[in-house]
Order: sequence, then structure tokens, then C-alpha cells
Amino acid sequence: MEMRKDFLNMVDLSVSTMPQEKTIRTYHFRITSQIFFVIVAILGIFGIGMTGFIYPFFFCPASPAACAGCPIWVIEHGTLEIASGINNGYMMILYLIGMFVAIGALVGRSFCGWACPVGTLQDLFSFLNRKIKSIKVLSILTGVSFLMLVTGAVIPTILANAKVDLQYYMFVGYIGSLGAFLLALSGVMFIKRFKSIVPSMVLLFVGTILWIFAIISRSIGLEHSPTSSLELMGLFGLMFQITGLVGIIRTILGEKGPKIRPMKGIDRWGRLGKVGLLLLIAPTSWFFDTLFFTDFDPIGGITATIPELLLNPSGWEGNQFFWYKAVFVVGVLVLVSFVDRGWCRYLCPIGAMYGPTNKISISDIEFREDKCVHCQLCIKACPMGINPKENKTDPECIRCGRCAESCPTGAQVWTPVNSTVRGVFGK
Amino acid sequence: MKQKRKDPVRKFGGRSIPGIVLIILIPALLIGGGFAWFWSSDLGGFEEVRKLASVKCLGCLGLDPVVPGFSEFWVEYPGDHDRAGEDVDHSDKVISIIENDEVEILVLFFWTQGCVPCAEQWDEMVEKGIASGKEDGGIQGDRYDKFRMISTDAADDDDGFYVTYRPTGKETGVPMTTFIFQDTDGSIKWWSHYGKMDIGPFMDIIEDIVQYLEAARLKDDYDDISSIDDHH
Repeated sequence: MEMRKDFLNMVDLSVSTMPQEKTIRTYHFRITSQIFFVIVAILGIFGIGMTGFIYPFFFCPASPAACAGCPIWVIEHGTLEIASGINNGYMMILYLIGMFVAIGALVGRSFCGWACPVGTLQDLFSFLNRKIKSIKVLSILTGVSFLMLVTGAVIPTILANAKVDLQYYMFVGYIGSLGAFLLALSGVMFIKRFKSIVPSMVLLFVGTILWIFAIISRSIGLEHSPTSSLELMGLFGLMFQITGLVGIIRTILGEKGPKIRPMKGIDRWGRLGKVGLLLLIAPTSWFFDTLFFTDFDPIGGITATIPELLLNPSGWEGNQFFWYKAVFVVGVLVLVSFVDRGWCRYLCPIGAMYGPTNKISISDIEFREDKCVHCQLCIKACPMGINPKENKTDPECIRCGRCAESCPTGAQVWTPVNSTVRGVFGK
Repeated sequence: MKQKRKDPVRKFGGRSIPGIVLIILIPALLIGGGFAWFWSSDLGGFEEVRKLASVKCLGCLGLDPVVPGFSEFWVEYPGDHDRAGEDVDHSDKVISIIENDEVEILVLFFWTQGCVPCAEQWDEMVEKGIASGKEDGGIQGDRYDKFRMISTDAADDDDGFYVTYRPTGKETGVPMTTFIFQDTDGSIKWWSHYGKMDIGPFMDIIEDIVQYLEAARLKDDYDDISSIDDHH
């Protein structure tokens, strides 16, 4: 009997110490889901027209590839319609709330971790930040990013000059945009790797050169070329300049600079920023009688403005919102280069909408205290900087499952029905 | 106890709702949320989102299109249009307005809710006496004679004007301004500008149309007199 017990314990241990297999499976599921939802977000590329659906995540409906409305944009339009006495405004808001309540009751904030394209971009940044250790690999990343940006800028230019319809080449704009974002990330990574001021100065110099390039190209009347777009080159120039400036400040401040400690100080209070933004959306729309948040929204800049500019650089010029938007875009890119899921942590109003549903959602990530060996790996793995052991229903948890992936003993596990509900039935 | 106060994360964590409440709350939220989602989408939410999202708000993009200035009025769809060279399907409403002796020039102004450039252009037109009233349901001002303006929400355009008069046939965004008039030979001529239109070029085009029509009428009168003289 004793032997049987020992054997059972051994079997149990062998199951719980098989994180490798589980890790690969969860990781692959999440990546597949993220890629799937990026494709869903840009279905417009495949000629699908605008539908009446609302994205359950952040994506700008003004994007050339969009096929649905953005939740924040729906709040703004709904508010404006209600303010104008149009009954459909109530229907739009109810449509949005119904969707969020149903999704939230089922899976909590999981869409942030498993579906949102902006989250996917941030995960890519974090992955590269963590994995790239050598300067050689970093240089390769810089080269590839540059190549992507050039491809994204040059191909539409050639097509535009050949009078080819660019509608079916929209993906090229997104490749170029990704190249630009990765270039900025490479700059931040160079700054982090080298403790000197040199990479920051190089970035500052490159940024300034881009501005000069744009001004010269425009003055000599170069048409249908990305270099002739003051907006495009200026935005990228700004991206390098601000990254360089942040790097210089970081180098000068050194150890004296602000430190982001998870759920303490700046990090803890900063997280209230997204709640504040969410609460301000409807009143600002009402007061200014416009889509106030959307006009300055950096995610609109990332998902719509930059791809549009890359597709047709000579076809657009900035309006009164452009440079504000550009500064916010660069600010967010720099933030997410330095802080894992920086946008989700501090600024995303959609995350703030989903957050409270973690308290009641039926599916959950469960912590089994008896199996915990206090290795702290789950805390290190959490991209949101929370303590998954103590905060299983934290509104900050995006249910990405990294804690479960990293746990060597299976103390963190996905459960389709949370333990509180199971407890009622004695299970 | 002291350690507990030091650790801020405890404040956020932990499930404080009892299980028995949850088993009532979760199905209620799922059914209630799902029902609200379905019901409101069916009662206009879905259609409203589709309509509003179908019109690109240029203010939201932070960009204005660089468009060619006015060069000529079109009778058929222009060269850059998807249907280049084809006849334009003018609606009965447009035809009846433009064939009315009281109206020489019809301007269609397209806007959407929350569009800042649209509101700016509308305010400028009101200031110059070209338009009057609010964007929604606004009409012509008293600056010009024989002039009609229709202000249309592009997302709620039951007459299909916005789709008919887009200069490229594709979604070009709002604001958009379309000028329509009937030539002396009976043909309907038009030209559309997408993106915010400055008030100077707007007024220049109105003047151009007025002068063109005056010249065309004089020419017609001259031709008539000449033909009568020839006959005699």
C-alpha cells in the first residue's frame, strides 16, 4: 500500500514537472491566436468591406485595411449621437457594452493577451528585447528592419508611378510600418547594450538627417517618393530623435534615473492612467463635439496613419492633429521599447474596460498553493508586472498564460471554470 | 500585519465575490450581455457602426489628402475614376433641382459626425454667407442667387449622393464638396473635391461657373441671331 502511494506521488510529480510540453503547447496556441487576430483585424486587405462589427480590441477603423469599428470610436460616436438626440447612439453604446460584458464574463481580459494586435506588437518587442543578447544579432535585426521599411516605402512608390491600384498592396504598408517600429526598437536596444552616449547620438543624427532629406526632396519637387513626404520622413525622424534624446537622458542620469518597480510607485499609480483616459472619452467627445480621443490617438497613428502614409506618401499632408499624433505615436513606441506591455499597463482604455471582468470571469488562471515552490519564475515571466500568485483576479492580468507556461511544478494552471464557482459544487 | 500593509498588490488581488453570487452573476451577465449585444445590433447598432465606419474620417487619420486643384468640369466619370468614361447616374432629385429655373448651381457638402475638418469648412462657409444653419440639415446662405446647397451626412446618405460623386470611385473620406450645374446644351456638369476645401478656391469655382454660364448663354444668343440672319 505504502509502495503504491509512493508510486502515485512519483507519477503525480512526473506529470506536474512536465512544463516543457505544456509550455510549448500554450505558447503555440497564443502565438497562433495572435496571428489569427492580426489577420482578422486587417481583413480589409483581402477586399472585405466595412462591416458593422466592433473589434474586441484596439484597431483604427480609418486604417486602409480595417473591416470593423473600434470600441473607443464607438463610445465617441455613441456619445455624439446621444448628444444630438439620435436614438441609434444608445443602440451603439449598448451594442458595445453587451459585447464587452459577454466576453468579459467568459474570458475576462484574455483578449488583451491573446488577440489584440497592439499587444502582439508589444509582445514582439518584449521577445526581441529578451532574446537578442549579441550585438551581431542586433545588427542583423537593424538591417532586416531597415530592409522592411525600405520595401514598405519603395514598392508602393514604384506601383504608384506605374499607376497600379494600391488597394491590393496594403500589406506592404504594414510591412514597412513594422520595419519602422523595429528600427526604433533596435535603437533602444543599442542604447541599453552600450552604456555610452554614442548610440543615442547616432539616433539623433539619423533622425535629423531624415528631416533634412525630406526638406531637400520636397524643395527639388521629387514626386511620388517617400522622401518627399515631410510627414513620413518627419515622423520617422522624430522617432529616432526622441529615442536618441531618451537615450541621452538615460545615460546622463544613469543610476539616478527613475526605476520602474512592478506595482510600486510610478508603475502602480501610472496604471490608473488608462482608467482616467477611459473616463474622459465620453465627456471630451460631448464637450468638444468631436472624436477627441481618436484625433490624438497614437494607436490610430500606428495602425492607420503610418500605413496610409507609406502607401501613398505624396498623397497626404498632415492636418492640425498630425504632429500631436506623431509625438504620441513615438512616445508609445519608446514606452513599449523600455517597458513590457507599456501601453496595456498605463494607457489602454480598452484594457481598463475589460479589467474589472477578471473578478467574475468564468475561466481563470488558478494558483495551487500546495504545488508552489516559491521559485518566483511566474513573477519574472509576467509581462504586466503583477504577482500572479497573489493576484489571480487582478484587473491588470491579461490572462496571457505566461505564468502557467513558466511554472515548473504546474502551480499555475488554466481552468475553464474558476475555483470559486467549482467550490460551490464542492469540487 | 505590518508586512501586509507594505505590499500594495494585495489591494487589487483576490476574489472577493462569494461563489454562490458568481454562479448567479456569470450566467446573468452572459445572457444579459449576449442579449443586449444581439438586440442592440439588430435594432440599429450594427448598421450604425457599419455606416459610420464606411466613411473615412480624415481628421482621425491626422491627414488631409493632396488633391489636384480644379482643372475642368466633368460630364462623365473622370479618368482617375473606377468607371472612367461611363455616364454618371444623376438621381432624379439632383436632376429636378438643377433643371429648376430658380437654381443654376447645386453644391453638395458631405460630412460625418465628429469630423473636425468638415465642421471647420462648414463654419467658414457659414461665415461667408455661402451656407446657413447647422451642418446637419444645413442649406445655402444668401450670398449667391440661384444657388442651392445640400449638406449631407455621408454615413447616412439614403440618396446615394456620396457614392455617386466620389471623384475616384473609392472611399476618399470627408469632407467632400461637389459642384453641379446644367450647361446650356442640357448636359449636367460636375466636379468634386475631397478633403477640406479652402473658402477661396470654393468661391473661385462658383464665380467660374457663373461666368461660364453667362458666356455660354451669350454665345447661344449670338448663334441664334446669326442663324436667323443667315436664314434671312
